[in-house]
Amino acid sequence: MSRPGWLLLALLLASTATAAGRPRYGGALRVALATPGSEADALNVDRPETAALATLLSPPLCRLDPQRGVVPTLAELTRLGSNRVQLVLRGGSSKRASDLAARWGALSQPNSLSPYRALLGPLRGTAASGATVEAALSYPWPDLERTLCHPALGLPDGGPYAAATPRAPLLANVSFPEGRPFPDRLMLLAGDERRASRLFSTHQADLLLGAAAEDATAPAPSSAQPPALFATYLVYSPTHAGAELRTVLEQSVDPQDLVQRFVTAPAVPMTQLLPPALMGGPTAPAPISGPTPRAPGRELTLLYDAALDEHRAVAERIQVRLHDRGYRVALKPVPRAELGARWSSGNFDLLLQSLLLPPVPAAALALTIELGGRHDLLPVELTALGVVPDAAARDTRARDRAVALRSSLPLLPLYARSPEISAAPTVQGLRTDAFGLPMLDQVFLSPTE
Amino acid sequence: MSRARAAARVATVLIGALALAGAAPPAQGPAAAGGAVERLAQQLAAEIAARATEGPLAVHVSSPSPVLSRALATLTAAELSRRGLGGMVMDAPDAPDASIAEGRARDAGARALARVDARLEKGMLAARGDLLGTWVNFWSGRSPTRPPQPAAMLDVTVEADAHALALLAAPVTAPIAGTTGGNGTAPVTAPPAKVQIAAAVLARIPSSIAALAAGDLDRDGVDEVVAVTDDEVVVLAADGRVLARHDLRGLPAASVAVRDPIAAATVVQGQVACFHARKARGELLAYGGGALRVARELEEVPLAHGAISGKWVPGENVLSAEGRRWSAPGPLHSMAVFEGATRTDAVVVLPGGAGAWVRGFPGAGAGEAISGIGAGTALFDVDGDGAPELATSSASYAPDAEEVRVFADGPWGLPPKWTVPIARGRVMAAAAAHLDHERAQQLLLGAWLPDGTSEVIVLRRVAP
Repeated sequence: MSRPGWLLLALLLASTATAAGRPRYGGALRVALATPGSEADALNVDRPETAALATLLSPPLCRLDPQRGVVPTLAELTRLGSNRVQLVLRGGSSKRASDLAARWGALSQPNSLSPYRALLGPLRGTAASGATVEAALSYPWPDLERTLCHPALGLPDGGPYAAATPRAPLLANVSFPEGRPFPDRLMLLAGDERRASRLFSTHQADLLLGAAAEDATAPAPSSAQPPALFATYLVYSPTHAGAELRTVLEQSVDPQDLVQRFVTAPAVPMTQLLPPALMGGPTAPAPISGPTPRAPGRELTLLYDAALDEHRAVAERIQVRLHDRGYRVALKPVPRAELGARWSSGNFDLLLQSLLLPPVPAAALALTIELGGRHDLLPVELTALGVVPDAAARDTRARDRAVALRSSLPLLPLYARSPEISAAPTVQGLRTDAFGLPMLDQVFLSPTE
Repeated sequence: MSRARAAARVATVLIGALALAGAAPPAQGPAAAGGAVERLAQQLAAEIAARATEGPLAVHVSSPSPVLSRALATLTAAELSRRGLGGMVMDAPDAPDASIAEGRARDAGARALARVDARLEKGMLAARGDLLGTWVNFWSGRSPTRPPQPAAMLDVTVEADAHALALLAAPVTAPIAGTTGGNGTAPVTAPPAKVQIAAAVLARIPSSIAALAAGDLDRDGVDEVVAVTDDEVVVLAADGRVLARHDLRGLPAASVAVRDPIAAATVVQGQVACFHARKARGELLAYGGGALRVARELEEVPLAHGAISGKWVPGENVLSAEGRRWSAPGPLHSMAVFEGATRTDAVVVLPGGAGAWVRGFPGAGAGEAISGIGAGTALFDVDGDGAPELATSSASYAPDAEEVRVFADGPWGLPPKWTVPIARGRVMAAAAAHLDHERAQQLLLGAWLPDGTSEVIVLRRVAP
């Protein structure tokens, strides 16, 4: 990765600013977000910037730390048996437990608009009692603990920060179970990449998310790079688009080309269902066989999220490439909710979808199966994976299944993004979790020297 | 007491501790899998056994500490005997003629001799030397020829632990008279000519250490170590064994919870006083019968062995200490006190790497302003001269490599007298302790590791 923002991140991680080793409380952290809006729905996180924001307002139940593993933040999870787990919410009321159960229940519904429902695929049912949620599993799923740290499965509110009004600064939640966050306020300054970058370079923001800083010049060491787990897929409907489309897509859409020329954020091309961070390293492109089919004049519609410039650029490139093969592709930007509805109902030819994959190959595989519309396949695949007791062996098995399933799922993996973060020297304690998300509630401000 | 007698006393105590560790390994201490000296002896014996097939085998060990030499030789010879190679210990002077050991091994009928030199190297306990044949060839007559086998170089290292450091401790000062507690009340004598200090792990704690303290809780003249985490108070023996635990989770939460683990702990007249910043109240805990019991609850944060008290600033990792006897120069992270025979000093850690060294605490006012100090700061008398040294961790929040700097008593701004690298983690707490009967003190450090656990590190003088 050669994004200059990582230089500043690396400098942060090795900061020598004097702090007596203890964080400082207070102050306002100004965050420039390169995103059209600062709304963050945890059930639809598809960009690092919005995902980082979502975890502040709708907190995950735990934190998946790269070095410490699962760190309970809001809930203590206990195994009551191989197929039963108990979550006890810290300092939680019965309302919060029932909120969680309701949220999971809604997400698990067949008509849920979010592919993240696959993360709850192994759950047979939940029951809330007091501050406790008990969940029954349909089959053994040893990766549940790690999966539950995904932002989409957290509580709807009660995070380390709270928004008093839509445009006001976020205020620190002094009763957050893990402890209050260090800054008192978090001011979100949303804009396009250029504006966000400008705000940072003119010292109007302490932190820049989603854009490269203008004044950084060198890449950071690889050790500072969070994993690229925001995966983007081109999903197609064999029924609407024709079964022969897969070969056309494989031959005409080049993930490497997309990453180099059309995706501005730090990204790696995907040649397998799972990104290199989950496949144990770079993977070779899948072999393409068969003659090049042509479909003169065939018309297709490619849906993409109207809020994402990146998806528009990628969609335009795919449009050009398919045009060379005789397809006339109409691009249709739609609101996120409509995109979800069209995906859920199967009413589309082609659509672009980004997901935050968990850093757990088996759970990530479940998400891609769901995205490919093969909900029926989940119990079959996950049951076989869940019986492997050793985590490393299970990861290997999931990778093997990802390779095996690649050509049978109606989607084409394109690229995986990682967050782009830059920080001023006054920002201390910035780290990323195992999802690659910056833990903004761990950040503190040192006095200006 | 003579130097030799002091050495013998230390050896008795520490070899006893080693034996104890071998019989009943501490639940959390690094000696759980065998102490460093035991592991070094096992590895050394394995290397010797791989090269010499016929016994008996003699072992000669030299090191900066006669105590360590004897312990390592004894354990290595025992391990060789366990392997059926008839280990024997060769007592011989290290200098000027190293061949004395060889001659004695021949005279004793050994088939081979392992000569090793053991010492501390950057946190590792290393034993290096050679293995040579001592079989006497009848046809060589009086010529000191050696057989072709065995002949090998020996080189083994293990991570040093607190026991190894204790064995290396140079008993150059007189022991403390009686059992006067943990803060050095012995008379001042001439300081030793040369002192080296080193660090090793005393115990591992499964969560972040919020505060450290030390004091003689059982009135045996040796301090116990107190580590406070978010959930419990752990009392450790001087050899790292867990003596008692006390759960803090039942205490009511503070109105605003701080994010970083921080607490205040001190020993007041043989009882542990601790107050976690995430709790609404503190506790005074009495130790006895292998358990801690609540003597009473505390509304204020006790500091400096109870000399003064303070209050946590709600939702922050600092406390205010203002009183009739002494007022802190500002909200402080932590405070450590040194009570010597002729002086009492205190050091205060303030935010931003600032601090104050108060000589003549508590009557001397705010003290000398100091800078560049870290969260792990304490005063301790490392050389036993009656004057405290100031030890402090890095002032950075996330240093590339943690180190503890030890400053001599003097104007602030001079370079540190010693700098001790810390192998891993960030030092976030410190306390002085008397872990043996020597007048010189040891320094306890609480290091946070990246995996969320902690280590209690002991830093002490070792033989040069």
